[in-house]
Amino acid sequence: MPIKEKNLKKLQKEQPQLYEIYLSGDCGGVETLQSKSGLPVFKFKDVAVHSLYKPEEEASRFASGIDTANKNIWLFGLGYGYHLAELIKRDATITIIEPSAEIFRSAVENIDLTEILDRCTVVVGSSFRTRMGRPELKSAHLAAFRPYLRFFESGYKNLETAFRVREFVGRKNLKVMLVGALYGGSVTTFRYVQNALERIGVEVVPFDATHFASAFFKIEDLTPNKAHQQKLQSLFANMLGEGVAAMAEHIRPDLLLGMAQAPMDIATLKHLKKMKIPSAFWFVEDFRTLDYWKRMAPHYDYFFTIQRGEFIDELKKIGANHVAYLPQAASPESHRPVELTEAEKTRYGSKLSFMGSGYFNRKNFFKGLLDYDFKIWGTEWDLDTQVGKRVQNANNRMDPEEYVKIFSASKINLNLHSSNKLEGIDPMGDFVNPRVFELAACGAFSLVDNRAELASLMEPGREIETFSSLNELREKIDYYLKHKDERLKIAAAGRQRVLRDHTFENRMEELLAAVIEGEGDSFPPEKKRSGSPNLVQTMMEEGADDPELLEFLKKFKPDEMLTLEKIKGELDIGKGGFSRVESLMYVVGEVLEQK
Amino acid sequence: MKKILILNLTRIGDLIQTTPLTAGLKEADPDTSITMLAHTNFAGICKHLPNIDRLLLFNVKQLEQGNKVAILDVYRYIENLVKELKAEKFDMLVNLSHSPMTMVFAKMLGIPDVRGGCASDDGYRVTNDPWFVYFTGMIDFRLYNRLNLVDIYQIGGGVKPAARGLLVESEGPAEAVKPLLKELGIEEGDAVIGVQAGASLKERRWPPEKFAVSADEISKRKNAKVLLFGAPSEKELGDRVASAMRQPSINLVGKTSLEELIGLVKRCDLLITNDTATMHIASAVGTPSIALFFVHAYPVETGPYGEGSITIEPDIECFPCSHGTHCPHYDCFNRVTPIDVADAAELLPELKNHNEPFVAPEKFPTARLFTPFFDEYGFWDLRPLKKQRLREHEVLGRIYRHLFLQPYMEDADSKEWIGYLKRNFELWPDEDRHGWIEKETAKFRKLAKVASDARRTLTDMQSEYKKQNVKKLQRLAKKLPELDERISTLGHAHPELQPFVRIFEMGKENIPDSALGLMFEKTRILYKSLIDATAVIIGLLKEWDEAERPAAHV
Repeated sequence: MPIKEKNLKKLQKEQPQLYEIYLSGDCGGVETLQSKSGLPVFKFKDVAVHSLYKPEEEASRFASGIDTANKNIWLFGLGYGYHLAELIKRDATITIIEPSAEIFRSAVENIDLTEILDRCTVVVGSSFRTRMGRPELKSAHLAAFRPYLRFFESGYKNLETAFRVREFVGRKNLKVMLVGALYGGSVTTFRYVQNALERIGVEVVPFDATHFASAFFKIEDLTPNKAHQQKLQSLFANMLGEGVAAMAEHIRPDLLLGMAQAPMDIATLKHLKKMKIPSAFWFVEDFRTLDYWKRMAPHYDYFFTIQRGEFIDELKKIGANHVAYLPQAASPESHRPVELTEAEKTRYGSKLSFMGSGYFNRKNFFKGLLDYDFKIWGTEWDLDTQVGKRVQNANNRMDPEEYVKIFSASKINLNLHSSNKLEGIDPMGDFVNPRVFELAACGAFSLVDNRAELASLMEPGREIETFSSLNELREKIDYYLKHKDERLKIAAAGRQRVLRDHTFENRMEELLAAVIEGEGDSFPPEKKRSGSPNLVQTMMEEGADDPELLEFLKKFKPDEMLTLEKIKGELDIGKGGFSRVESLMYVVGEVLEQK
Repeated sequence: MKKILILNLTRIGDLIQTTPLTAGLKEADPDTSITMLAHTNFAGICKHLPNIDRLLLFNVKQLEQGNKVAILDVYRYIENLVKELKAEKFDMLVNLSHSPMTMVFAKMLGIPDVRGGCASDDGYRVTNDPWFVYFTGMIDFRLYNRLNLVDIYQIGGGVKPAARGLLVESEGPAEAVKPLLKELGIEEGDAVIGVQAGASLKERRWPPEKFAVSADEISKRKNAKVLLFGAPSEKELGDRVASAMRQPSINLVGKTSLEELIGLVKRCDLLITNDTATMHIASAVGTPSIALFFVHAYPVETGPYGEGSITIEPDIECFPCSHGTHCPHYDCFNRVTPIDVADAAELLPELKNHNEPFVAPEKFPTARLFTPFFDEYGFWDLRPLKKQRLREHEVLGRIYRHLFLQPYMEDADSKEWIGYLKRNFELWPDEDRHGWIEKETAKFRKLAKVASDARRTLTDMQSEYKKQNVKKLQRLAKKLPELDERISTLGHAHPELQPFVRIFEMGKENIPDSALGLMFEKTRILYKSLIDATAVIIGLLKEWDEAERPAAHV
C-alpha cells in the first residue's frame, strides 16, 4: 500500500484527532525533495530541515544527545522522523510535539509513520497542554530537534515554559492563595486565573472577596454622610486585609497572588513577609486611570502589568521589585465558538454588534454607526438616547455563557477600548483589553481600535483587523460585510493565535516561571521530613497545613508508628460516612495493602 | 464534548474487555473524550487499545524509597490525583472495578453520572445503574446469568452492544515480530499453534502436562509449530509443558514483550488456552482459540468475545464453582482430556457450516463444548456443539436473558428463547416438563406473595405515616425487615430466584437514608418490580409449557 494511504488508514483507525488535522488543510510551505541517499526530505520556508545528503545519519546524533537514563522524553519537532529512528527503539515513553500542521501533513504523505505512531504519542499544534498532567511529566526530559528552533522559536519557548512550570508545580505540589477583588471587572479575571492555575496543576486556595461585597455596599445605608461612608468602607477593606493575612497564616501557601483591587493593604503585605510567603500582584488596570499602584507596588515581591514602557519605568523608579509585562488573555473553556439555535441567531445576531459597558467615548462614537444593523449589549448605557435604543438587554448583566453567543452570532464584533475622558478612539492607547482575546478565542471576527501593544500580540490584517478612525471603521465594516471568506479566515487565524499564545494558562505559566526564577532554588521551602516518615509525630508536622488530617492523626499517640492495621481499625466502610481525610486514608490503606 | 472517565484497575484481560464499550461511546459521539485510569502495571496493554484519549496511571510504586513507602506520600499522591481528576470535570464515570476502595475513590471525584459502584454520603455502597447492580450481584447467581461481561460493561456504560469485537491494535506488533519469527525459524505458510498454560489464578490452570499432550497431538495432526506463551511468573509452567512434550516446541514463556505477544498470537493459526488475557488478545486479533474453563472460570461470563472459537468446560454438576472455592479433588480437570482438546481443534473449520449442534453424541463424553456467536441483536451468546441433555438452569438462564434484554430487542420474537432450547438441547418428556414448570412456578409465586405482603405493609405504613400514628407505624416497621429477610431466605433456598432477590436487595441498599416519604416511595417501587418480574417469569414458563404441548391439548 502506498505510504500515504497506509498512514491515513492507521490514523483514521487509531488516532482520529490527527486524522482530522491531516484533513483540515494542506502542506503549505513544505517542499519535498529527494536526498542524495534517495530518501524524501523537505524544505520549510526554503530551508532544508533534514540533511540533503544522508538524513538517516541524524538518528544516532540526535539519540546520543539524550541520556539513556531518561525514561520519559518529550521532543519538539517530528519533521520526517529521521532523527527519531534510534531514540524510539529505547525503552522510554516518548511524546512528540510537532508545531506545524503543514509539516505533519507532508510527513504523512512522504514517510511511513507506523513505528513512530506505535511507539510515541504525537501531538500536532499547540494543544500539548492537555497532555501535561502530573503523571505525564513525571521525571520528564524535553529536547528540541535543532533545525526547528529556527522557525518555531516562540513555539518552543512556549512549550518549554509550559513544560518547566508544570513539571515544577507537579513535583513540588505548589500551593497558591489567590485573592480577588470585592467587585468590578477583575473579578471575572480572578475566576479565569483560578481555573488556569488549577489546570496547570497548582493547588489554589481562593480568597473570594465577592462574598463580602454586599456587606461592603450595605455600609452606604448606614449614613448618608459620604465622608463617614468612605471611612467605614476603608476600615472594612482593612479588616478584609487582616482576613487575607489570617487565612495565609492558616493555609501556608507557597505564593500569594492578588488580582487588581484585591483588599490587601501594606499591613497585610508586611505580615506575609514575616511569614516568608512571597507575594505577587497582577495589575490588570490602566495605570493612568487608577493610581493605587504608587502606594502598593513596592511592597509586592512581583508586580505584573498590562502596560509597558512608561509604566515600567515609573514602577522601577518607586522601587517595585520584579516588574514584568503580562497582558490580558482569554479562557478557552469559556470563550469558544458556540452552536446557536435559530431563535438564538435571531436574538443575538446582527451585522454589527458591540458588547460592553456604556463608557463616555463609546456612547459618543457609536452615534456614527446608527445607519447599520447594529446591536449593543452591556450595562450602564443611557437607554433613552438614540444609541441607547440599540441596547438589547436593558442594561442587565450578562454572563460569559450568554455573551459568547453574541460573538458567534454577529458578523462583525466591534471592540472599542473604554475611556471616560475621550470622545472616541484613544490615539495614544497602549494596552489591549481582554475582549480582543475573548472575541478571537470565540472564533469571532472583530474590528478593534488600534493600540500600541496590539501588533505584538496579534498580527493586524491576518489575525485581527483594526481601525484608527470612524471613517476607516466604516470602510472596513462595508468591506468585510461583503467578504465573508476573509472574515472567516481572519477569525480562524485569530483563534489559533489566541489558543497558542494568549490563554490564561499561558499567562499563569509565565507568571509562575518568573516567581520560580526569582525565588531561586530554595523555592518553595522544603517541608522537611525529620525522623521516621510513618511516626505519627512526623506526619503531624508534615500535615500541619491540613487541619482535617491533624484531626485524624490525633486519634493516635504522637510517638506511635502509624500502620495499615491502625488506619483500617479507624475506618470501616458502611459504618457511617467518611470525611475527606477519612476517604483518602481508606484508599491509602487499601492501596498499600494491595501492594 | 462529553468527558468520560473509565476506572479500571484490574488486569490486562479486563482492560481488553472494555474496548467495545469505548468504541461504542465513540461511535455514539465521536467528540466524546475518554480518559482511562488504569494500574501502572498494565500500562503496556493500554497503548494498544484504541479510543482512549488520555491514559492516567495509578502508580504508587514510584513513591517507594528502598521498598518502603511513607503513608503521607501515598496520601498526598491520592489527594493530588483526586484533585487533578476533579479539575477535569468529567460528565460520567464508569467504575469497572469492584473493590470498596474504588467506590470511596469514585465518591471523592464528585462526578455527576457514576456507572458502577460508588460510596454514598453515609459510607454505603450505591450502584445507581441497573446494569451495574446486575454486574455486582451476578456473583451470587452466575449459573443463571447468560450475559457476557463485555456486554454488561457496554450496556452499563450506556452503549447498546452491536457485535463489536474486542479491539487490540495489532498491525504494528505483527510487523514488529517479523524478525523474531524469522529468528525462531517460522516461515510464511507454516502452521503455528500457541499454548497459554497459565492463568492468573493458579487453581484454574489445567495441568501443564495435559497441555503438552494436546499440543503434541495437534502439532502432529497439523504438522504445526508450537509456541508456548506466558508471563515471567509462569516460567516454571512453561518449562513443564516444554519438557513433557515429545514434539519440539518454542518456549517463549516470560520472554516476550506485550507487543511481541500480540504479534505472535496474531501469527498463530490457533491458540489453546485457559481463561487468560492471551485468550482475549486472540479474540481481538482474529485468532481462533480453544479456551478451557475450569473451577470458577465460566465461559458465559468471560468466554472469547468473538466468533470462530470453541470453549470447553467439564461436564460436572458442580461447575462452575463459587469464587474462592478450594476444591478437595479438582476432578473437573480430568473431565476434559488432552485428546478432547485436539479433537475440538478439528471442529474449528466446520463451525461456519452449522447453526445447530453437529457433533456426534458419543464424542466428548465428559466435556461440554460451546461456540460463541453474536445474536441478531448484536449480543454475545454461546451455543453448544453437541446436543445435550437440557438442564434446569439452562431454561431459567434463557428466560432471564430474554427478560433482561427485552428493552434492547424491540421486535424480538417472544418465543425465540424456546427456539434456542429446542435447537440445542434434548428436551424433557411432557410430564417431566409440566411437573417441573409447576414446581418452579410455585417458587416464583411464593416470592411474589412475600413481596406483596411487604408492599401491603408498606402501604399501611405510608398511610399511618400520613396520619402521624407513631405507635402503629412502629409496629409495622418491625414487620417489614422480617418480610425482607424472608425474601433473602427464599433466594438462598431457591438459587433460581437469586437474580431477582439480589437485584432487590441491592436496590434496597441503594436507597439513601433520606426523608421517610421518599424512602417509602422508592421501596414501594422495588416491591412492585419484584412482583411484576415474577409474574413475567411465570408467564414465560407457562408459554413454554403450552408451546411444547401436543396440539390436541391446546
